[in-house]
Amino acid sequence: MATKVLMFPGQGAQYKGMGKEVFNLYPDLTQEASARLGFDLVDLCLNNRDNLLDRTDYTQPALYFVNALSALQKAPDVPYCIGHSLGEYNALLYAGVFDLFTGLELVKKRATLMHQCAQGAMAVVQGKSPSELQNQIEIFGFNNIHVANANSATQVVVSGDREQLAQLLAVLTKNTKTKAFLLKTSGAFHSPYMKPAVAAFNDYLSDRTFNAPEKIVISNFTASPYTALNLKENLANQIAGRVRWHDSINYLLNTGLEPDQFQEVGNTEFLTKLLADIALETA
Amino acid sequence: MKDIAIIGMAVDLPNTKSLEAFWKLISEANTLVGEFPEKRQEQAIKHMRYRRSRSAHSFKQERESFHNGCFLNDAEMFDYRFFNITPKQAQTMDPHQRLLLKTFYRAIDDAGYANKHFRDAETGVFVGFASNPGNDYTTYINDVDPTLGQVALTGNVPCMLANRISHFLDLHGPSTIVDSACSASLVATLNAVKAIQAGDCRMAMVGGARLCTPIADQSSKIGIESSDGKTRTFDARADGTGLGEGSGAVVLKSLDDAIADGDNIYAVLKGGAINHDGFTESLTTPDAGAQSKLLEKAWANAGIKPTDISYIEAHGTATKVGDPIEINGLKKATSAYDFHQHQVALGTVKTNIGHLFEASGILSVIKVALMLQHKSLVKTANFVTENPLLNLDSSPFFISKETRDWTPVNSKYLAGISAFGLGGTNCHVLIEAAPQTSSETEHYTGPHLFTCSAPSLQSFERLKQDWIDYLSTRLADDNLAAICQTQLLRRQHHAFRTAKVVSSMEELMAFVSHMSPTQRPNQPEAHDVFELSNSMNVSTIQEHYLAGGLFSYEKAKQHERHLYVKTPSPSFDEVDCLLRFPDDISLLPPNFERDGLVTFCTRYHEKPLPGVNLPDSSLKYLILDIEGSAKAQELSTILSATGCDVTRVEVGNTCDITGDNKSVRLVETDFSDLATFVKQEGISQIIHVTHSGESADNTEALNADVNRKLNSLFWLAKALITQSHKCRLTVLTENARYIEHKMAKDTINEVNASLIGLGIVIPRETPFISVKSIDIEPSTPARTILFELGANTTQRMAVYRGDIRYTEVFEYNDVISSKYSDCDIREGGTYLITGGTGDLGLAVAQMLAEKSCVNIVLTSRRGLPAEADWSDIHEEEILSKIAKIRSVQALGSKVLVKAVDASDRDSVRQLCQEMIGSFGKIDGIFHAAGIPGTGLISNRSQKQFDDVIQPKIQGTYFLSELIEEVSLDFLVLFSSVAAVFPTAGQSDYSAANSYMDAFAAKHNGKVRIVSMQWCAWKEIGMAVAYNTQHDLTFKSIPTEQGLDCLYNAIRHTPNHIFVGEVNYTDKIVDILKNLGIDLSADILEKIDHRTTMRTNLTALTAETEDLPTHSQSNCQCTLTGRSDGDYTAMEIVVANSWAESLGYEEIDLDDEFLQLGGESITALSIVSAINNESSVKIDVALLLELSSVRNIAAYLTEELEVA
Repeated sequence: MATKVLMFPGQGAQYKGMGKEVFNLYPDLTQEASARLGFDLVDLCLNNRDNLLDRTDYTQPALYFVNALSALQKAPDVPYCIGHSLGEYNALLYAGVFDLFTGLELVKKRATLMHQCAQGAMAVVQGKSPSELQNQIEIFGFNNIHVANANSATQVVVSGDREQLAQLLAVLTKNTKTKAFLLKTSGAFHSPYMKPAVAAFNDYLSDRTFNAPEKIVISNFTASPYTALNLKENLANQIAGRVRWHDSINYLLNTGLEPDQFQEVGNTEFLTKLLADIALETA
Repeated sequence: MKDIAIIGMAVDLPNTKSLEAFWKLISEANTLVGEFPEKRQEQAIKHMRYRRSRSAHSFKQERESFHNGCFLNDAEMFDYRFFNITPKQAQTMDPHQRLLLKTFYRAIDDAGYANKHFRDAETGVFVGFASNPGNDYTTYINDVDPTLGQVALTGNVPCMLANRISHFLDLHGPSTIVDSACSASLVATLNAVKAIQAGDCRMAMVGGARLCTPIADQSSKIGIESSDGKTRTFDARADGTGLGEGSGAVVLKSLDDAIADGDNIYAVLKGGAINHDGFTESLTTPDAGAQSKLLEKAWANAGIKPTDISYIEAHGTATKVGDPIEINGLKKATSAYDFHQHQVALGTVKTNIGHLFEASGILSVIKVALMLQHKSLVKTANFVTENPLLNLDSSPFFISKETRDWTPVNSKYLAGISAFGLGGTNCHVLIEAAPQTSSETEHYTGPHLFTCSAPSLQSFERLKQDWIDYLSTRLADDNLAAICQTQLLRRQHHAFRTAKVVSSMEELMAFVSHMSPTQRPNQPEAHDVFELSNSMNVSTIQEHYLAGGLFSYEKAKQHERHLYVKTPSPSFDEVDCLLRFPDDISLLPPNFERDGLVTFCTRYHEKPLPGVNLPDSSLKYLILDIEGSAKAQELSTILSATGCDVTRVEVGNTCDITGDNKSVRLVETDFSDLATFVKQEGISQIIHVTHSGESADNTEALNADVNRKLNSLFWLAKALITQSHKCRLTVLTENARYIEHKMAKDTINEVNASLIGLGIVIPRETPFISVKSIDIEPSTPARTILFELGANTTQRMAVYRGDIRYTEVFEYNDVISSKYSDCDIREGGTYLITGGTGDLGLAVAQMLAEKSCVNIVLTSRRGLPAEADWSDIHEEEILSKIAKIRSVQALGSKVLVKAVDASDRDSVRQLCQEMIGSFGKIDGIFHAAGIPGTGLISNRSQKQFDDVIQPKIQGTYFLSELIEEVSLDFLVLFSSVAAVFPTAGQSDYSAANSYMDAFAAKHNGKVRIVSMQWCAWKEIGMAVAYNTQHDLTFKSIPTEQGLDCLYNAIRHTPNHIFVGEVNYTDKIVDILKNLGIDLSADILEKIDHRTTMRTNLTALTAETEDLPTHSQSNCQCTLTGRSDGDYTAMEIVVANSWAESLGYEEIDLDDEFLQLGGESITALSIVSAINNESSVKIDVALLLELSSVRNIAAYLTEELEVA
């Protein structure tokens, strides 16, 4: 069936060597991006010196730009799009809400603010629903752990204090049916730890203008389409708020779309796998 | 008076182990004199040099030499397995005891009563013994290794010489030892005779044993030793006694019973007498008059005519003085009677075997019995020319100079035996030949069942050869019935058995030449007792016998007269049990420096858990919520959430253990019920939860706190211990411990600290309960407790402040040499010492008076009589106290003594009023009142518990109320090592002192408050009174140094000071590493350094054959249990630790620890040894649970892989 939905991945999808297919195809754009960012984007992506690619203030602009180029290169024209956390910016770009370099600028700001809040860690837990996990967190009194991403019925990402996360993971993995491990992110994103970034980003967005979306973009924060009205609010809240991926995908599936109509942009397959899991839930 | 028959005898002399060999020796007039065996010379020299090096006396450097004499060359050989003794016990057993065990056993076997079930339990044991002051075995053992004292106890207490024999043979008659020096075993013989005559027992065994170390130097001579070790009694060249070693034993029964029972009768004892010389010119000179009267009495008692006597076995010590006196005594006694000239032969066994002192009497009896059996008078050894001083010509006596047939006198073969003790106890016994017994016996026709057994394969092989030899000369005897009956009824049935139905001696010979045993199977059915009777089919008996069955002989005993013939019995499998003396190198490494008295403290260091682990959800948990705390509820919820089975029990007004809302009252019996419940339900994890709340600010609140928290733990512990329930007890407290800078001092809860003190004692009293303390603060999340519960650590305590984890570390903390503050003893100051009339209190008073002229008030519960009455006192204890007080007063200080119970608030307050009234203030208080813990939790009554707790908990509290009122400079609390390193029996003491430690931590500040954790004082104090002041893991405190330390403590700042000196030189110090508290690096280094040095030392001194030396840490024992002989390195390590501790040469993989004779001290030393070598640690409870080398090694290996 024809592709109707594009899915853009977020942090975690970065890898050394990414973008090597597209940088050469768009040399001018790439060069401008590097100039605007103030560092050599190609060198970062291909060589990842000092592992900077995993530092959020580098991860975000790099991933945004590479996936933006991928979309430019190959993406079909579809009515729906959705992006996971950072990927939401690629989706909004695709939907024409802003242009390539405005998006880059926004992403850079977002990333810088988040980096400044960066303390804590994140972990992905497979095998528990968000409410089950929330329950465990409360019982154990992990007051500094929050559900960051509700990715499917049984995949949840949690953010919070590094030590408490380590304890939580140890507790969870006692049950061999549960898998959990720390993510390569440098902060406790999508959690109250990010509150300072939200406020600052809000200020930053307040006097900017954006276009209304030309495609249907499902918001992480609301799990429903972006409108011109809720744009800035959703974007800001998205930083500290839960990524309601599960709900978002279900929203799309409930409109009658089939899983094979979704296509992931970029070379990774996280979102494709998640989609398959989510689809199975209702089957 | 009844005649008493000698029905069994045994001797153990140098190279002379059988009666036949003994007869040969005496009938051929040989002597056993030789050199003192070289192997024994070595040990003796090493020991002697060690003793001399430690003596204040300076000895001339001279070559050690030894007298010649009749010495055993196999005294160290012993079959410990046969006697159910562990190798270590055998090594530390007095060799006299070992020798007696062997000889008595062989004697009872000779009598035909080795079979326990055929034997009369109403048999007495009478041993002649003489103590050996200065040279006893306990001195030797103590010098080899003082820690052997405990295992050596029963092997060296004199009563065991007899009692152990009664125990081993299951004899219920009288069991006593008698010490009258050289007459002891003859006196014992007479006592046995009288006991049978009086009906105290039906059968009796008598014996004695003697071993000596014949050092030839001036200081050890007693004046009777001969010049060359030979005893030349009655000879002109006699110049003293030769020393002799050995043992003898006889079995006695009334003559009538012996005949009726078909026993073999050697001779018959008629009776005798004992008397004492009374006053003589010197204590040790014998007296002819007394000896003469002795004979008269003996004759009367025996009911014989003296003119029937034809032999006297003389005491005959061959001393210039003694021999003539003895002859005079004999002459005097016989002078009134009509003897023929040279009617009575004289002789003494001492010429053959030397003087065996306490054992000489019994050997004389055995010699004469053999003479009577053979009807032969023997030649006196070492005799050439008669001593002219004897003047025998005109007397009835002559020296027996040749071995010839004994001519009866008046148809009687009657003899007398004399023995005279060093201290003047004399004994004479009359003995006669056995009566002719009719040889009519019932002959059994038809086939006979021949049975034969031995305790081991090797023993069986030797026995087989003995049987071949025995039968080869007896084929013509018509003795088959007697042989078979003897074997079945009278011989002990061992594990390696064989049996055959035979009809002729030839058939028996053929069987015996090829017989091979089957090992009795170890099945319960095989031990059914079979009633043996004449009507039983022989093949049934055979089958039952080979199956390992036991027989009851009641029916058999009733009907027949039992034939007895002396068939061969198995010999012992003897092993060298010598306790070697370490080589003559100083036992301390040359550069080892002792600490001297130093001070320590307990600090806390951060020690995070190695990982995150959840508690095992296959176990069951019980939360005892003592105070209805939120934490208990959270913990319960969180434990359930991880899948654990949790039961929560509250403390309330009802006792309901069965319903859903479980509760107990604060009543001991409810806790008992709770423990029963816990055991029934298989709940193995119990958590006692308290929280801190406000510290009590009045007496009622304090008492309520103590009752609720401490008593509940006490009752819980007691109930669990009584149930022997294997479990882990977690004591969860809040704010019990002070972590500097991590908490506010005023949040410390002292009562909670006492819970920790009680908790650490529990595992010292029982291997079934492991205890962990977790001390948190209110903000510590429940999950932190959860992870601690799931952790597998060796520390006995974890402290959390927030969620940072701390554990204890014991380290040096010098306060002796420095002064830190201005706090001091004031001139004219007033000082209160509670518990002040004890030694320690008085010593403190003396110290104060030496510093300044002060007013001192001493209190104790009873006080002392009023000073006005002191001149009327006679009780020594009180007089000594008075003397000490006087000496304090003499220095210019005032001393008042008041009777005040430190646990009574009103008394304490009243005292305070009085002191303020008299002196205006109190400058310092030493709170030393209290009594030690002296009983296990399981035996402790509430009152005993309270008596220890109250002076220290309530007592300290009452004193604290006074602090403001009296403007105190300092308060010193006398706490104890028991709060850090307690031993069993100190639960209440540790709890009480822990309270004081926490109190000092909380309140030390403006007013100097310090808790002194004293080790035992060496010369004074409770430890001396209760005899526990000996150096163990910590050396005892010398008084003067202790007092210096006390004085400095006042002027320093730490809130607690541990005073002691680690006993690095003793192996026992290794235990410190396994008590669940970390030791600082420098302490650990010193302990390990000592171990290395000691290992090197013993590696040099150890010999590879025979038993390993007791402290050989690289000993190689032989492992058995696997057919391919392939053992893992871990199994070898574990087995070696067992071998070293227990002393076994060979250990089977599946031998069980307790069955090998292991107990708590050996368990602890094995655990220490293993933990030294293994990174995976075990504890005593685990050792007992795993129980075998195989299991322990498997456990350690598995844990290593997991790690």
